[in-house]
Amino acid sequence: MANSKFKFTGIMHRQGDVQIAQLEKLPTEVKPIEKQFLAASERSGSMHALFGNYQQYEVEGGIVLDCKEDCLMNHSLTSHLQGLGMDQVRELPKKDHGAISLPKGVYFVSIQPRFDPMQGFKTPVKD
Amino acid sequence: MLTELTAQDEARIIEVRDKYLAKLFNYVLLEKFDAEKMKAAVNDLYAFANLPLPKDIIIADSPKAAQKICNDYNRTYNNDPSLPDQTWEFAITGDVSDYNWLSFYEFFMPMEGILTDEAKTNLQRIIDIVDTGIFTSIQLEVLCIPVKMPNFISRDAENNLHCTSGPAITFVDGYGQYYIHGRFLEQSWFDKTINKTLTREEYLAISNEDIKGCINTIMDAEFGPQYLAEFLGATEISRVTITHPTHTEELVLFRTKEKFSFARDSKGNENASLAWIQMTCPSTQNIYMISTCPTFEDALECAKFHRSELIPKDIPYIWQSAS
Repeated sequence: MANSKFKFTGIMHRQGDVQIAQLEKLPTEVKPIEKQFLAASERSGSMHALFGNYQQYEVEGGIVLDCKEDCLMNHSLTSHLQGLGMDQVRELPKKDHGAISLPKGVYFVSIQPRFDPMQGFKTPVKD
Repeated sequence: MLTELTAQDEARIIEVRDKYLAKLFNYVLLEKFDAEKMKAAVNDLYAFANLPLPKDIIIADSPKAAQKICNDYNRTYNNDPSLPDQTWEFAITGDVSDYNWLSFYEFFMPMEGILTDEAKTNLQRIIDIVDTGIFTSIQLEVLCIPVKMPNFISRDAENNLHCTSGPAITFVDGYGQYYIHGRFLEQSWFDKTINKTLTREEYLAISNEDIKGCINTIMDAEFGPQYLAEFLGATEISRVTITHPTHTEELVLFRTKEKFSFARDSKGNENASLAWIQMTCPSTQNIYMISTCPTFEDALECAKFHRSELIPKDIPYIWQSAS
């Protein structure tokens, strides 16, 4: 079920269960939102968060990021973020996954799905 | 102003670093443990902070023991045996958490014109305090409970706490915690796995992939690579090696021969097999068995299924960067 509104370049990145697919351009009809964690662990107090100059958008099935510069995605404990904003490119102490650089561009972010055999469809991986 | 380091300076960076690592990881300070020196150090820490000295100092063998001591003390101090246990916060001063900045400034101590004499004196005072071997402590007004250093620490190649055969960190009273490639695992899951009392039904009911990932890694390391598939009653269907720009990844598709009345495939067919795709995290090396649709015959096609529905299948399964 590919979405024709999204034009993918074919370049993909990942950090743990967070999958990042580059888009050719910013899709229309996207809703801007405040910067927030791209994903957070239910159990370990860790989060995936992007740092730098970018705009975050909410879309069905994920998040769109419009990176105005090369940004850095960290996987860190939420406690390491206390008092820090996400507007500056910065590397936080690593939790499990090393920081990855997202070059300037537009990206679609989603969480790796698992298949639930009880229900017969995909659900996001929980960690 | 210092503008460059000599070769001797650079060599001394390694020397200072290794000295601090040895304090904890080679158990140097635990071996030198002296209760009276540790109590004197606690008093000096309070004095350094211009605080009244604590009425009591009780040394604990482990963080868990420190919590029990503190709760017992709280009931006695308040003369109220009904006070419930609570979790007391561990302080972050005068213990191993100071090693990062202490080692940084200790490097500059012998250099001329970097630190003032007062700074050197204060720095040495803190170094002397932590060198009595305080791992952490509960610091209260009337009571301080310093905790002795661990007596065993096991780490993986990335320096994450890691041990598949037992606790990755233990203390002298036997208290330990379990970690797999840096991920904490409750002892109950570890015991069931290592004792082979974990049932397939219990395993399948675990919704958290990190817990399952830890269990998979223990099984793989302790019982061999075939054990997990045997445990699940599954056989290998497909295996493929993918060369990404930054690493190589092996994907393995497993499926049970047995069919289950509760299981269905993505087309809605009931009484289906169970299937998993095995993936290894490039950062942690934890082994994940991600539940998948049993209709796949090819591991690569299956891996593409584990991306968002919005990503077309003709986009190759290649990670430009991955961690």
